[in-house]
Amino acid sequence: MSEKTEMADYADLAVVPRTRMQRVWETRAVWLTPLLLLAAPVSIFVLLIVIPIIQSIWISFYDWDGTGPASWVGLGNYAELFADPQFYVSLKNNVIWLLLFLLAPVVGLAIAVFLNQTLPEMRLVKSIFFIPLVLAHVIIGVVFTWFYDPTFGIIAILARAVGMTPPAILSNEHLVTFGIIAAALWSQIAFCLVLFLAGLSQLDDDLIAAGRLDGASGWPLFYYVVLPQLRPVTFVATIITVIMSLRNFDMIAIMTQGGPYGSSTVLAYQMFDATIFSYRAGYGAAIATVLFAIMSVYIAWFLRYTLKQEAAER
Amino acid sequence: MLGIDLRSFRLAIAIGAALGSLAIAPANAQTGQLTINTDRSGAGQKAAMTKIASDFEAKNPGTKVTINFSDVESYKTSIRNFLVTTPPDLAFWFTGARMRAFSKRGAFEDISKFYADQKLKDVMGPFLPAVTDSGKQFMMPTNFTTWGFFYNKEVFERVGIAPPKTWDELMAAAAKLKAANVIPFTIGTRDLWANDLWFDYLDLRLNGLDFHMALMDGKESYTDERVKKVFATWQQPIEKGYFLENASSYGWQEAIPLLAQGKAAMYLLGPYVLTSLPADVHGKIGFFPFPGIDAKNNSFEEVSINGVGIPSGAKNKELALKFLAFLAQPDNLAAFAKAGAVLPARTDVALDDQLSQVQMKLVQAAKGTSQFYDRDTDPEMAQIGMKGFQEFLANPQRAEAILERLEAARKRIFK
Repeated sequence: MSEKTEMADYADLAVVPRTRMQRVWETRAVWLTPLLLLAAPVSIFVLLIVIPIIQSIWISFYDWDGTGPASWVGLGNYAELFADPQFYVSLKNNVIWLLLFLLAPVVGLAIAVFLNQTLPEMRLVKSIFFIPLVLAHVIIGVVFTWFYDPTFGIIAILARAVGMTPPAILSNEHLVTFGIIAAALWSQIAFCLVLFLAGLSQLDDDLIAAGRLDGASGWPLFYYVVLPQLRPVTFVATIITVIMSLRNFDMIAIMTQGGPYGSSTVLAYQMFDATIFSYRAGYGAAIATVLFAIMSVYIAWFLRYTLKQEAAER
Repeated sequence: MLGIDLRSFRLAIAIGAALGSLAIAPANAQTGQLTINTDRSGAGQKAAMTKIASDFEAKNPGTKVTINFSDVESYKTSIRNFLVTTPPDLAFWFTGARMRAFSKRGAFEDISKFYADQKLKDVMGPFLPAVTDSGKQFMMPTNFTTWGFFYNKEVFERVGIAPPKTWDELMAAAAKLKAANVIPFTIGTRDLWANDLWFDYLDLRLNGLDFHMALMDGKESYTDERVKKVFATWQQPIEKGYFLENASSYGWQEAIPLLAQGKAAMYLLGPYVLTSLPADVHGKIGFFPFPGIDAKNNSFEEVSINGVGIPSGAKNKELALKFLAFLAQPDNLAAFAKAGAVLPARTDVALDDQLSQVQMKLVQAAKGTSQFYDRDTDPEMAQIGMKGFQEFLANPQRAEAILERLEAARKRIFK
């Protein structure tokens, strides 16, 4: 029996005659309800996300200082961007960020497995590992800058204690990006750790017991029994880590301002630098558009995976 | 479709700005009302400005002065909006290229006649080029700061050197300091600007003010022999290791303690060296101007000047001019500057502390002045240039590549 006839049967039982509105509602409730419920979130999404994206792309075709008159330059900003050596430095740094940031889920999982024990002392140890999550990125950046200070920093003091020349990590164009990533990874690992700890607490004990009965232990037990159950968590942790690595900006602004001479700049920082310091909103918007295109690849992958997953579960 | 074009976008910004600036600049249709927007909002400057305003009200019965104080950073963005949407009668601002950005768009009133009327041409003489755009004056200078070497007197005494007067003496002093295990020049370039002083001063000393300003205006090339000479001269102390190593690891303030501790001997900077240090070490720090290289260029100085102008859309320009004349009186200008630890932009004001007197003498003797790299040139050029200087200080051997990059940027920006 279809939904429609079921509803009609029910209507026949009604004593009170129905108004026109009610009839309209009854015949259309199936698609009208979700529409009404979706209206608010979708309009907010369109207003705050979709429209600004379209505006950004639109602005990227103009030469505009942010307040004055704008002049149409077509693809001029993009042509200039692809000829700008700084763009390739930023892009290269973005790739380094992306690759090294993928360590966060791996290390986070390792620590989570270690912390997932029921010893009473573990509470203290866990809270120590949570600390970076509590701290603002700005504070982490400032403190790591002090660690790296080539005169007074702890790394310099340790290096001198063993008779080495202290490295000036934030002044070295080859080391600086790694120095900033180390600081950012510290808090990203803690973030992944929390996700995995939550995932580990949801494990099916029966499955693990069954695995043990079958003689699995150690690595095979982890790889074939535990890890598959953590798959949704792993996926979310990886996707968020990838997005965090691409949009990272605050650590760079705090620790080096993109320096020395632009060697630690990433696309997000270059966009800020162009728009705010050089008064080039159009050029900044072009960088934003390129960054958006790169991120879209991951978002598309994320959507495809999610949809496939949902289809498989149905 | 969605109907987004730049026009409606800009309209939205304008509406937002108008709403936002309602709080900053209340309407003042009635005559006798004077509205002033200012970013000089430190506690001392606020009190000094309020007192000047109430004195002005007392002298001119029937007038009412409203001052809208704002913090420096947000003022830099809000002035772009309020000059157009809700102009006050007076707006404080930077002079030089930052003023010209507005005067070129007709946002400031031409007040050239004011200087003749008030006979200020002589006493404000050294500061007038900074407020001049194509021969007309658009602002009144209020205060300034000069730059030069701040040095640790105890270290100089221990090593046995006197404040150098020439470039060669400076290099000899640096060699002695280096031999005595003291860093001759401390500097922090992470926030880029402290490095500009070396470029600006060397360019002024070697090539003179006219060339320097032409370079700032994008009319001369960065690959010109004269700019190469600036880099070559700057290269000497860099290659001999006279600068603090890894300067880009330090912010400009973070490099100051080394000077106070005697680990470094000199810092080319402004009076902020002193305001960043506790009062009890001030006595240890001395000052000398950037030494001479070529006699004909020795009296050009780097002087950063702030001022106040009348927006073209001001409602009460007569009263605004009257207030400017009142503010320009030596006592008022001195009180206003002193409250902000800067110097009044008049050469005939009596100053009580020694550093101020030295700075004032320097400005009086100056044949001409530039302001500062990032105030004299286009903002984008400044950003690219400052990064280039930072790279040069770390890798002097890349001089040629850096200058070529700056030249490419200049050609694109000043087309």
